[in-house]
Amino acid sequence: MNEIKENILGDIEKVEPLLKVDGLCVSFDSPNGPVPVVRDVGFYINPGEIVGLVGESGSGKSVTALSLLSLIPSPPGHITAGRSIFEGNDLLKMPNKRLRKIRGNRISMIFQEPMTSLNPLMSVGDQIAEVFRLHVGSSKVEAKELALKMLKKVQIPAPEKRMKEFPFQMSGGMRQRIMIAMALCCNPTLLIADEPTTALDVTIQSEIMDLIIEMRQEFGSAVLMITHDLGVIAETAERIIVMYAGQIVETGSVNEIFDAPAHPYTNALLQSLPVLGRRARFGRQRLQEITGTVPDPADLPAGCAFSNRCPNVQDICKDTSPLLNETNIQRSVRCHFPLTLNSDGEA
Amino acid sequence: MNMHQRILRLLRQKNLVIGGSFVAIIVLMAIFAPLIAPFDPVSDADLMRSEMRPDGTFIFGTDTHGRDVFSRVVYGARISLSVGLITQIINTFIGVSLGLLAGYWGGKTDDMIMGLTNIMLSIPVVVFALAIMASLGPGLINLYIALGLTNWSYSCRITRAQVLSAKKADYVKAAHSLGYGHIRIMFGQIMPNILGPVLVITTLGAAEAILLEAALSFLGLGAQPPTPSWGGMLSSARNQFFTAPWLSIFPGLAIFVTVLALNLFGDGLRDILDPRNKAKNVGSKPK
Amino acid sequence: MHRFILKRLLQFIPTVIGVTLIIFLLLNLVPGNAALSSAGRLELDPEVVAQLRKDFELDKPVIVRYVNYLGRLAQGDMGKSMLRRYDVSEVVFGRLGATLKLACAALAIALIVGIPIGFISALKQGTWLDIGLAVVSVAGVSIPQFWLGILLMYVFSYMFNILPTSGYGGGAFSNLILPALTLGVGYAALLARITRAAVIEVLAADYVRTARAKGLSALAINLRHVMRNSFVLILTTSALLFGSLMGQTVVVERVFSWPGVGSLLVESIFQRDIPVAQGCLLLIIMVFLIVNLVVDILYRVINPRIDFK
Repeated sequence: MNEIKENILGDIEKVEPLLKVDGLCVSFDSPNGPVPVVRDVGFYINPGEIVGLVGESGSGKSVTALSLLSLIPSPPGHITAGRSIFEGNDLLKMPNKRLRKIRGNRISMIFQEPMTSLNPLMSVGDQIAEVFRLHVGSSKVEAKELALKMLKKVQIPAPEKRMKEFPFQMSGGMRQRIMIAMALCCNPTLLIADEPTTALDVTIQSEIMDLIIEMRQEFGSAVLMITHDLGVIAETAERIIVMYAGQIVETGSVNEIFDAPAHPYTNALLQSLPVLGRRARFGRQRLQEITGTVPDPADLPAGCAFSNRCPNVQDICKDTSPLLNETNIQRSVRCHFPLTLNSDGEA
Repeated sequence: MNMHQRILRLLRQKNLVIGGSFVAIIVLMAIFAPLIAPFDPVSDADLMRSEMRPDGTFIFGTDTHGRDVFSRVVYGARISLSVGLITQIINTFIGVSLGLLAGYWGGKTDDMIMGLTNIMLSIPVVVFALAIMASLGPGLINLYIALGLTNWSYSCRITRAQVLSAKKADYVKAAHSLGYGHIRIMFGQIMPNILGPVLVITTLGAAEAILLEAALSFLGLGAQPPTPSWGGMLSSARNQFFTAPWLSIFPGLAIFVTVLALNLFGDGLRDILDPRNKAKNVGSKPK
Repeated sequence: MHRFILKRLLQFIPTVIGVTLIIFLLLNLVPGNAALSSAGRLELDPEVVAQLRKDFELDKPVIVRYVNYLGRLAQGDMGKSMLRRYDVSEVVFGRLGATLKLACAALAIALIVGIPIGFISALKQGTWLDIGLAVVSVAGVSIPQFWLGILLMYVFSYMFNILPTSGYGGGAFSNLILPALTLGVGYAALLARITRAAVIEVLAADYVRTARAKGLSALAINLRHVMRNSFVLILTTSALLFGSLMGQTVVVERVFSWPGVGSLLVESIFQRDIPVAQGCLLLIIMVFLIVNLVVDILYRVINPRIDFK
């Protein structure tokens, strides 16, 4: 399962990445023994860059993100291998005390469920002020003022009044704005957004995405945007990482991924998208669903994890796991028969 | 999974195993009481051997009337278990029937039954049982009635909730339009769903009823002497407590072990049957 | 908020009426003559019997008697003892102090011991400490209270002779210790189990993950985010516990000859003195209902979610 990545290490010297994850493995305990849910995941994020991490639910993308800050519930979750180098230090080996100074400060997170991610018994003002008290060491009064400023920044109407309100008095979109405000308090260099719009109404979704982009421009943070919906990041991300069954199956720039997907899974994901502005693939009018289901991480196919759903499956796919082949630093694919090599047509 | 968690999981199942085996032993003890008990619990009295310390012949000692405490404890299992069984049959019958009525008819019937359930919940079980005992007077049969009438609110609520959700299910409507009897269809849907929770409720309810029977018998309201009931034995041993502590220790221990076994068994059942607990243990991925 | 309290108070009235009706019917279903003869247990001359029947309205239908009873109850009159002709409310309320003292002491023990144990178990979930505490608490829930009382009495009063065996002792603290401990242990165990479940539920909540992602320390998370939220869950259950605790005072009072409402209730049941038994039962239930009402209102105060609805 371990792949050699010497060439990528050689190339990377050109730009010093903000975060570099290497060989990350996470498993969850089950009654029948540990189940690997993240398998040898490696990627990098450059300063100020927006990277999309895409995959169906159960692909291990959220677990990957949570593992970066050691936020997976443990037990049952365990990080079994890997490094996550952030500003020169390995987050995974760091003592808890130092890691806490990074959480919510240098690296912040926004979660999927704005409904349950805020403490229901604390006013939103207090919840934001808590971050300033903790990382900036502000006094109570200062923290409140700073929190109010943050509410204004994320364009919450009547912020003075909202400060004193509780999460249950707010809509989902409003709560997600609060979460964003909370995440940006300390001007983080990396913002991890775990499906930030999934639980919201469609109209609110784009507002929140716009806000994240706007905030990123203002604060200059890099963003790791996790989503199951390629459409969400088509307009925003610079690079895309596609995950399937706990592994990275394809990486590339947005243009590469959308115009010439190399992995059959990425291709299938794209075909399941409704027509999307300039990125739409011409000639594909009908939405196509991917047949079959994501394999159970406790019971993976012997060869390629996608072999049971792949339209181009061959004998070798069923018993040999393909390696992640890197054509250059940002382009890689895990497939015995990558599409861009086999098919001409649109690619 | 590491060793530590393996042991933990075994222990979790052990709840059910240990509780279940003790319950089985006590049930067997009650059924085969005449074979196990060396003496008759009531008639083998002999004042010449009154209040003897435990020894080879009388392993739990003898009581004031010279009866073998061990034999009386063995026979006492019959009373305690019958209290557990009979009261839970009555409770479950009342609870499930009222729940079905409330859920099925809805409207005023529902309001009335739910009102009654709420009032029942606002009267502590002991107090309600005492009220019935005050009306009917002391005695074992009255105690069965009292405890059988007091603890049905939970099974009533669960049944009602299940009926309501079954009513909403589309296939029930569809089957109804095809001319199938509503009640028959709903029973098919409801019974499997309430079986698990009701089983847990009755197991834990039996433990509670046995504890209450012992307490009320201790107050003198339950089985009257010379019936060998554990609570009653403790009641009659009150004045000899400092001089003949074995009269109190063994019947008390019997109650304790029986209730503990039922509670463990009920907890174990709940762990297995409650899907929420299951999900917690399987280690599903976080959202 | 005021509107909620008013609404809750209005809901309180039908409950009280329902409870009194059930208790009244239960205790008065026994035909009048039977009650009278068992109460008297004496051969009384016909004139006295007739007077008794008139005094206790035994010749009237149950419903009429109930309405009259309710009317008198509203004025604080619980009727007269069948046996000794004393004023029930006076005697019953006279006993209330001792019972409340016992119940509150036991509740205090349960809260002080049970909640921290539950918290520790939840935070150390799955460790040997947690397993050990789980064993102790299931044992605590299963032990017959009166038996525990007798054992405690044996150890502390008989063997070591450091605490009085029983009685009120004119309100001495040393007399309170054993009864309160006897009553409190089971509820401490129950509360530990409830607290553990509540804290585990809160620990798994998304907002706790948010708090961790903010960089808060475990201590700060537990103090600021976990505790308050789990208290909301614990509070509602403890209110229900208090009812069962009030009921169990009856048994514990008997073990320790504690002169409370419970002792009086058991005596009156033996003597078939219906008005006294009725008074005791109602008082115990009323205390529980009032506690529940207060807790309910308190619950809205610390839990803003349900407000404004």
